Amino acid sequence: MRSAPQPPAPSSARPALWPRVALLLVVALIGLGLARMDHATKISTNVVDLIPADERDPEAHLLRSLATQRQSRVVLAVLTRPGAEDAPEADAVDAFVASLAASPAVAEVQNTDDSSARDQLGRFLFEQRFTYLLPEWLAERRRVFEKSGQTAEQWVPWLAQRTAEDLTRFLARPDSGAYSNLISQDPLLLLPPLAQTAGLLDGDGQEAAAPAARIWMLSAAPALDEAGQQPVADALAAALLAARALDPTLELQWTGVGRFAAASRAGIQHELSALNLASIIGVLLVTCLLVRAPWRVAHLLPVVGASLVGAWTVVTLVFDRVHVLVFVLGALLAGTAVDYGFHLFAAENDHDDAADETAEGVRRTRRAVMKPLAMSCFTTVVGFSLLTFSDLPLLRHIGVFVAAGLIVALVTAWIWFAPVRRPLRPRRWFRLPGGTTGARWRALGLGVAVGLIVVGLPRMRWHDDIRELQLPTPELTQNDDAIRARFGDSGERSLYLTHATDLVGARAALARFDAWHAQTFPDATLASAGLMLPSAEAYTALPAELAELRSFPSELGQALQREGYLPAAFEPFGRTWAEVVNRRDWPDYATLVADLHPQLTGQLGLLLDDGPAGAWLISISDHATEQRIRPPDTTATVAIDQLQSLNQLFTRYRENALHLSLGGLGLLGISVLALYGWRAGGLIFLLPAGATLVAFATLALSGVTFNLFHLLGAFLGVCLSHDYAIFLAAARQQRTPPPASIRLSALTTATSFGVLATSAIPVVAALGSIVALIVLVAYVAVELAATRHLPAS
Amino acid sequence: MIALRRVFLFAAALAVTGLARANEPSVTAWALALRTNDAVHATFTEARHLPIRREPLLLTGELRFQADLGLSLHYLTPEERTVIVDARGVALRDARGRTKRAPARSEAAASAQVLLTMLRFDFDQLDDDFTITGTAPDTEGAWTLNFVPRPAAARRGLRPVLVQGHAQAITQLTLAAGEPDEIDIAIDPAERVPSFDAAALSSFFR
Repeated sequence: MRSAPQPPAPSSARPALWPRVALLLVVALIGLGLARMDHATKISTNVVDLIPADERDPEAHLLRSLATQRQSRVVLAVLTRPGAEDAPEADAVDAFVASLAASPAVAEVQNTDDSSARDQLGRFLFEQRFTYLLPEWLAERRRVFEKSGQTAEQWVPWLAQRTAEDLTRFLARPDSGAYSNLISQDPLLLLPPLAQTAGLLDGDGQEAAAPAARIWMLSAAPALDEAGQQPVADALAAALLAARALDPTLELQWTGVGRFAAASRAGIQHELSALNLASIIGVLLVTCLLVRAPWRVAHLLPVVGASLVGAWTVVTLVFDRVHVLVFVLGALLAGTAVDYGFHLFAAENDHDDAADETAEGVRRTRRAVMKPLAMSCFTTVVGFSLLTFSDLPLLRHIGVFVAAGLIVALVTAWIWFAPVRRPLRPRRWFRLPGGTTGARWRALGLGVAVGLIVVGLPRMRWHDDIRELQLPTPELTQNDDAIRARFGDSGERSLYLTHATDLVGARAALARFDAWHAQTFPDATLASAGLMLPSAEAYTALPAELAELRSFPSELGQALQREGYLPAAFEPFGRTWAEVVNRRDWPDYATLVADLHPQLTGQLGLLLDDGPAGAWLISISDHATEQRIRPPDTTATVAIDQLQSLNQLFTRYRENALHLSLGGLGLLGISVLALYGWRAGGLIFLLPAGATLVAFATLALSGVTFNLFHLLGAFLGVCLSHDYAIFLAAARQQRTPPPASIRLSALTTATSFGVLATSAIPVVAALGSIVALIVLVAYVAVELAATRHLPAS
Repeated sequence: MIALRRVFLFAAALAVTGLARANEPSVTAWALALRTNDAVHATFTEARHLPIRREPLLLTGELRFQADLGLSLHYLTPEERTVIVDARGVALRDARGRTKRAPARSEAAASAQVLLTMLRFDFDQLDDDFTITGTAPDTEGAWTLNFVPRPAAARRGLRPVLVQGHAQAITQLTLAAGEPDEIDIAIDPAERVPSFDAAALSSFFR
């Protein structure tokens, strides 16, 4: 690799510059094409797009469907009078609502203090109570009766006595008077249990922190579209103006998915620009510190630029839609692409001040560098290509992005540096001595590494949360929490989602969930729009059940008399019961559902869905969220907070990524062992693996909880440090110190990823920190290993 | 919400103890003397007459009232539950302390506004809704106040209330007086203190 020192020779001929010009031209043209690309179509900022469209996991499927349905269009607004003890005046609130209702950006608006929608639903259910509510009422009592072990003849008297006793218990409640004028028509109390949970369903009836008017609305456009964002904000601002005309003291707070989406998009775009810029500046600054004539590092810019442009081009060509996070993480290419420039440009070591700088000498040196460089590039590209088999689109995109970028970087570096005769000259740098001192340093380094691994690795904890993929917006989150608390969405409520392929299945699953909930949270109340519907099984059994209950009114009369009631007062019920028992035209189940739907307006309309993609029912319980207690799979129900983190799903993705990474490492190990033999190959394999273990252990000891992106970062870190091990092995074979390009590469890469570690997006920071640490540890290991062949001083 | 409406009327009747000026001069003169801002605590027995029952249902509990705090009815039997009526509306608190409020634009809330008006002694507004008559304290100190909703108020759901008292204390409240679902509330002699302690405030008010 090294030639004997020769005096610099004048150039024999002017080097051909046309490949460079052509390269710049191609990069400029492609860059122009990228700039003119339809970014809104091609680049996604929606976190849900990080989940595969064909993901079969029910939680992810639900999250995707919820994100595209009415739920995502909900906007909650609160009007208050700061400092005042009473709520805003009704006329000002009405003006606010009227203004929103007139806005084309708003599809629906509802003042939650207006109970008319709930009253309308209540009237409907009361009138149709024997169709919608009686089947489950009977089925539930039938179950209890059958458990009692009594004979079939005792069924009707038992049911009558139970009904009378239930009525007495109900009327003894302080709040039962609300139904006193309905009792003579409904002694079965079909409606009250449902009505008493209505406040849970629409968020009304929840205790508010201070007097406020609460407005629920639905944006006309999806919240993730720009049409569902700024126009909604404008409509709210106009509505506030209208309300302030009547009460200038009014203050507005509002929240919605669209508000988060807009903030997230703006934040990520800023993050994208800032991280890429800071990364490039950081790399250049570090380079200036490490090399002589630092202005010559401008030669590295085309390599980095072409690499990024190439990566962007390939990834947008291969995939229809790419998440913006790919480009944020793509900032890492600045640190890796520049490595190839270093290896070719600084193809001498810093001990060699009198290196052969003749044209032929430089070419010879570059050819010598090209073998380990190509090997390094090949293994890294193979490693990242394995990510294209990942279940997670983001990893597939990153795999293609990095692999393409590295190949472009290597080719560009080769073309760009071909005419360069004078290599980049590294500055002198501290280097550990060899001999006994070196051996002591090696032993110390090995001891520290083993110690960290033994102590740190057992402390590793893993947890994934899809929310960590987004830019945190603490102010919006705080605002959102405060507003949702006013709408009753507090830690004292738990939301569940029951799903199935159709509503019949969902209702059956809801019955199983209801039973589980009653057993698990006996003191809690469960409310669900699904409970307004009978199960298909109970509804089908209704006519046969009624046929057995022809004598029920007379039995009930006797039971009521025994309980102190006047049976004659229940004549209205007796008349209706006779009609119900003789009824033959029961509607089919689909009609039942279709008739109920129009009654579920406003917030209530979000609680039930039976579209072609499947059906789901939302239930609300007034117990505090309990993360350790989850509904069993048989209930086909998930707690909504499970959807918020998708930890289980991402754990699966992490395991998938781990398997791919281990497969990649295995492939890499076999390759280097085959190419370099057991001794050198073992070193090349063990150095990055050891550096990775030390990095994990160090972070674990500092209390970090690991996620999928630490794993992804580790994979990248292994590939990068693998380069250094290859160059170290090549140097050891020739008994020379490792090339200075390793130092340049390691420190610039650490800088690049150190910048990522400062990202406000948690997963980006995770990736940056692990890679920076692995690379630094690997570099220290290279320096320590090099002392084996260095002189004692 | 009919029960809550009755509660509001009941509370409204209590608020009469603080009448500053009633709409009938003969009532005003002696009703002013009942005005107080003391914290009142008493036990009560409520008899609910229902047209479907031979005998009324009986409920017992303890009552707390202070003009600037509102009214709290803590039912003890047959089921523990607290009804709170204050400037923020009406709320129902169960035995576990979970509180739910009545919708602000419901009939119940409208009745609460009437109550608040009474608690503020704004009888110019009360006069729009009620005809108030009464008998001044007799030689033994017994008095009555009768609130009869005017036709428009009756259409909004307000119902007659009869308040009976002795000296400074209310002894009997009759809600929906004279109607089939009348509620009689007999109030035991009250304890009066300047204010409720912190525990009572957090448990029985909001």
